[in-house]
Amino acid sequence: MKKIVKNPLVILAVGVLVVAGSSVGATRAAITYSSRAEQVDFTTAQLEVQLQELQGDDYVVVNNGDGEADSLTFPSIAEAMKTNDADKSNDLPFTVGKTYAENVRVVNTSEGGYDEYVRVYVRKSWKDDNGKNTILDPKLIDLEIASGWYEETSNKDDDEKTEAEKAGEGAVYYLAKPLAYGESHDLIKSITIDNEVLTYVKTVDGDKTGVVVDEYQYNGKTFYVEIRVDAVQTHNAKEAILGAWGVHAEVDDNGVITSINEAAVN
Amino acid sequence: MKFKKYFMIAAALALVSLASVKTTMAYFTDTKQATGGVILSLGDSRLTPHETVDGLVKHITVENTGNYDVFIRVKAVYGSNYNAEVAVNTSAGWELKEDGYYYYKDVVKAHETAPELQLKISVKDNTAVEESFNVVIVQEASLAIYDADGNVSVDWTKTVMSRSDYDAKFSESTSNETEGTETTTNQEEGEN
Repeated sequence: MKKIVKNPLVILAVGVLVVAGSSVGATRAAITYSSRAEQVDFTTAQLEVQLQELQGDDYVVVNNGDGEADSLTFPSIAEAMKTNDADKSNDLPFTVGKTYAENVRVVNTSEGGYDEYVRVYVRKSWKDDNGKNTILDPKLIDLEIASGWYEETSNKDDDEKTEAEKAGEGAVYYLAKPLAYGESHDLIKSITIDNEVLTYVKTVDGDKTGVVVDEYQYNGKTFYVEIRVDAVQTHNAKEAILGAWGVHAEVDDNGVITSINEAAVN
Repeated sequence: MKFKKYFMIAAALALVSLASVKTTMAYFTDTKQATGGVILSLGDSRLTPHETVDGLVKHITVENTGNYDVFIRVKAVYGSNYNAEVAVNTSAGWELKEDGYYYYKDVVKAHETAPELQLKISVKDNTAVEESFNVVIVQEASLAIYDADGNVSVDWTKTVMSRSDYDAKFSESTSNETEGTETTTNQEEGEN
C-alpha cells in the first residue's frame, strides 16, 4: 500500500483519471442540458381576430389586406339585384330606402385559447370613378350596429370630434366585455341608404320637347364601407390597452372595461 | 466612497437594462380589415306606352322599360264635347282621382308592364263631331320610394332641388357629373 502511494507515477495517473472523468461528466451534462432546453421550448400565444360576413348560411372570413380586392360581398343586396339575366345591364338597381340584411361579426380565433379586447373602426364613404367623393354625405349610409358595442364618439362634444367623426364618416366601437376564445360577437346587422339621396336631384330639359330629365347627384356613386378590427390581450388590461390603442381604459375585476378616456362605458 | 461609486454605476446599468426590457415588452395584438361597396344607380324609368283603339275604347298599357320601380299615372286629354270613362270591370287597379289622372295602385317594377287600362270614349253631341277627333293620352311615372320595412310610397309632388341650391351643394363635383340620366316625368304622347 505504502509503496503504491509513494509512487508519484500512480498519483499522477489517478489525477489524470479524475480530471478526464470530470471533463467527460461536464460534457455530458452540457449535452443533456442543451437537449432539455430544446424540449421545453414553448410557443407564444397567437392572438387573432377575424371579420366574418354571413354569405348564404355560413359565415365566411372576409379579412383583406391593404390594397387588396374588396372582400365584403353584401349577399342580400346582390341577391335582390340579381335577375338571372345574361345581360347584366338588366339587373335591378339597389333600392334606396329599403333595409337590406348584412351580417358581419368578429370572432376570436386566437391560438392558445386567449380572450381578447376588441374594438372596431367603421368608415363609410361615397366613391366614384375618381375615388372618394367627399361632397356626398356619408351619414346617408346607415349601418345598423348590433347591441353590446360602445360608440366612443357618443360622449363627445362637437368640438372634441375629429373631422371624420363630425361628418359621420367614421366611428369607433368598443366591446366592453372581453371576447372569449372561440366566441363571436355580431357587429353589423343591416344596411340602409337614406331616402334623402333621392332629394338631391335637379330637373333639366331632355332632348325632346316635353321631356324633362332628372339628374340625381348620387347616381352612379358607390357607397363604400370599411371595417377594421383591433384586438389586444386581456392580461395587464389597462397597460395593454394603453400601449396598443393609446386610450386610457379602466377595467373592473371581471375584466369588463368600465371607462375609456374617462368617459363611462355603458 | 468607492462603494458609493460602484453602487451608482450598478444602479445606472440596472436602469438602462430595465428600460430596454420595457421596450421589448410588446403586447399581443391583432388587426384585420374588410372593405366593400355597392354602386347606386338612380334615375327615372323610361315608359313605353302601348295603345290600341277598338271602336270607342282605348286600350292602354304602360311598360316600364327602365331599371327602376315606378308608380304610373295616365291622363286623357280631350275636347269638351267628349267624355272618357274607365271600363271598370276590365281595368282593375286603376283609379281616377280628382286631378284628372288615372292612377295605378301598385308599383310597376322594372321590366314589367302595368295591367291594361280601358277607357271608353263617349260623344256628348254627335251633331258637333267633325270627321275625326283626338284623345291624347299622357303617361307619367314617378320613382317608387321605399322605406326601411320595404313599404313603398310615391310622392307626385316630389320636391326637386332648385338649380342654385343644387349647384351650391355639389359645385366641386360638377365637372364629374354623370351623363345619361333618365327621364322622370317621362311623358309619352299617343294620338288617335
